[in-house]
Amino acid sequence: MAYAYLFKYIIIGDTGVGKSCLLLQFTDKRFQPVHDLTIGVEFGARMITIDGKQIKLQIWDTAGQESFRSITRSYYRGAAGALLVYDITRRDTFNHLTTWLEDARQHSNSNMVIMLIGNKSDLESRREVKKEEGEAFAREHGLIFMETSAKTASNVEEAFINTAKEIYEKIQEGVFDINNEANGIKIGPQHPTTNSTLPGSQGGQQAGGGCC
Amino acid sequence: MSPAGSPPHRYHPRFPYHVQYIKNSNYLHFQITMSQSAPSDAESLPPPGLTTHSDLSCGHDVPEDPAASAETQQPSQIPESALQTTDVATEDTGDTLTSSESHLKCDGHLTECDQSVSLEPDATEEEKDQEVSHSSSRQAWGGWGSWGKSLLSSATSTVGHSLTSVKVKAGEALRLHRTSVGEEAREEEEDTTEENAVASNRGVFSAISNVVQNTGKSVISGGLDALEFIGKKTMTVLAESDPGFKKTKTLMQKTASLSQMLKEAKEKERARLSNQPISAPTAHYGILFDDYQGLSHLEALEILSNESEAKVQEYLSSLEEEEQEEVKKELIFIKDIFIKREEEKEEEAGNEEQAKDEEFMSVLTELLFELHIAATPDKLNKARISAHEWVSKVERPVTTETVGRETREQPGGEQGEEGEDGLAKEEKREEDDLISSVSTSVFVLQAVYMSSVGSLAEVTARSIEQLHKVAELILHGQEQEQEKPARDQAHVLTRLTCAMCKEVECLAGKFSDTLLLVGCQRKAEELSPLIESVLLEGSNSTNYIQNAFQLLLPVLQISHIESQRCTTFFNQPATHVFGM
Repeated sequence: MAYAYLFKYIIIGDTGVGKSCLLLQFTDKRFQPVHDLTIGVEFGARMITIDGKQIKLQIWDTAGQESFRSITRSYYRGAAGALLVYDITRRDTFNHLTTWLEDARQHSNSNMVIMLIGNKSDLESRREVKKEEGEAFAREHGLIFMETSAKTASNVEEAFINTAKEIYEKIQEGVFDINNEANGIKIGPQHPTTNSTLPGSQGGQQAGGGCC
Repeated sequence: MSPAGSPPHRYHPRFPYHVQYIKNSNYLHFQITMSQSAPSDAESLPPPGLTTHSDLSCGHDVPEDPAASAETQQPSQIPESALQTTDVATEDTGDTLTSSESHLKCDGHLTECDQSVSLEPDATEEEKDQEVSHSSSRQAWGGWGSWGKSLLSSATSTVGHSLTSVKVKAGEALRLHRTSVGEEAREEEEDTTEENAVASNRGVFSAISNVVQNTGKSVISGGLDALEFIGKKTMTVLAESDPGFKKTKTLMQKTASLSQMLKEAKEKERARLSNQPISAPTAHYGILFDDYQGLSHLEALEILSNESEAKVQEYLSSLEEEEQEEVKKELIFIKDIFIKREEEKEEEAGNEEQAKDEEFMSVLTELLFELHIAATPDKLNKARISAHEWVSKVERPVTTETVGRETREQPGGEQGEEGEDGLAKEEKREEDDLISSVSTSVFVLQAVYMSSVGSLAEVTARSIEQLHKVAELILHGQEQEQEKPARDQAHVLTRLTCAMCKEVECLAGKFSDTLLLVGCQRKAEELSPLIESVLLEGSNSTNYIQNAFQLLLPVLQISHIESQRCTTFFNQPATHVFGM
């Protein structure tokens, strides 16, 4: 139940690339071929384990439609990780990556870990964007890269977990100031005190200690 | 058995509270007298919680009115703002307390203190207080305040009894210090009780309870072991009997935004649970609320609200004085609609006392349609339907046998154990009907309780999600230029929120009735904490919803400004100054 860290993620990218499906696959291990258009933002959460530590991923799945862009931008702030998704069967979604990336960099903290995801890898016959192109783009912009399939669940876990690993490493290296919540990282509740089971009279002190 | 859907404040006649309520009403005296001194201190301070709103109004050097508008928002954010003033107010009220404390000492007689004040006049004064300072939450007081009081008294009665007897015995030894210190100790206990019972009204009490508690603590630790022991024990009892206790306590200390506070409360609870061996299953509203993504939606709504507020201020400061006055007038008009809400709510409540089940849904759909935005209430409706369904399942078959079976099927609960129990019981139900029904009713009671809290958390989370979606769609629709005028939307949203709150109140009432029905063979000590907890979470729920509603105000205001600009400069849409 309790976690050592909580990471806030955002999922961004053009409409219809499979952002919500990736989330559903990751949180519920399900695939829904037909998905409602996301309005604004939807949420998902899952616990993962890295280096023996429980980490809770709180995922903000944003609407991809252009008309929601101004709203979803508001949600970027305070994210520790971002999944930037395109559809390997639609080149235009790949072409828009630069805009998405600029947007993300501009509206979030500079240390945010960004994972580039080429989704729908199961549709090999309809592929329009080569894997190498994705890799090149990622290399050029300092992103991690993976091709996934929300339908077959291929690489979905890995995409989320590898992002978390990268964030975790950054924490270890001291790149992230974990006490600054604007970085999208929160320390779990078990750190401050262990005497939370004491009766109410301790409540005040304990709560005070928690915020330090 | 009481009928379904009776409002929560209508206290059940079979409940043994009323006697004790009167008997112990004197115990309430201290919170009430003190609470009157506290809020004034608290109110005089700027509410740090409203940083975004009030800070911006100052920071951007905007004339008074928007600032005033920001300030008038605070009443509805009582939990937030009051909590935040708590820490600061502590020192100030400390003085007040010592003076009243010395006053008690002068009196010298416990009995005198006890009899000097009756609950009623104080309560009404207190309500007046509320009316003035928290005008927008008036309705919440009217409706919920009454059961809050009974809750308080019932909880106090448990404490009060044991304490009085101990006090009599210890009386000789303590003699001189008894009056002052004894009062302190009791105040402390009552305060903790109070925090549970009147958490919805924290605004008034929070500031004082800390002071009292701290003072109480220091006096006790000053050397009176006996009283310390009593105090501790009572605290433990209180903490054990109410799972919401710690959460509420934590909430009192916090200084961040509402979603922040809820989040931290939930995490503390989680941590506490993980430290405990898994024994008695208890329902934890905060955790469930988060699991239904209520916190995330609230947080996202806060982001939108804050950004909208910033844009409103930015726009206002960009205007010439005359123009600015004009716009401000319009914005205040919208704000007034948000505040007037309460009166309308009362009228409505009078008209349709008994809200039918289907009504909520149609009202909700209708209102959302009226907003001219494409939000459907599917999720919220599903949540409330499942809540009503399990209640009617439990209610229909009155025999505990069937109750046992039915509650096992209800959604949301992780109550694995009572499955076996139900089976075992069915086999021998012919023989020892009585014994088995008593033993199962423990599980059934727990199950009903867990489902109650779970359903409240779910419906509340979904309501807040709905309001969040509305905010997103209003901001979205702004660009489409086809929506209703903001003031019309304000009216509709007001009614929408009322409908949600009413539904939650109705559910909480239903749940407590169901608990009574199922637990009729259980002792009051066992039953009442559960009922109290459900009613408390019910009132917390309406508070959360109303807070979320207030977050919509800046969203509507910026939407209004944008649409005005569109009409005024219809041919130059490029003049949008905002990023939105």
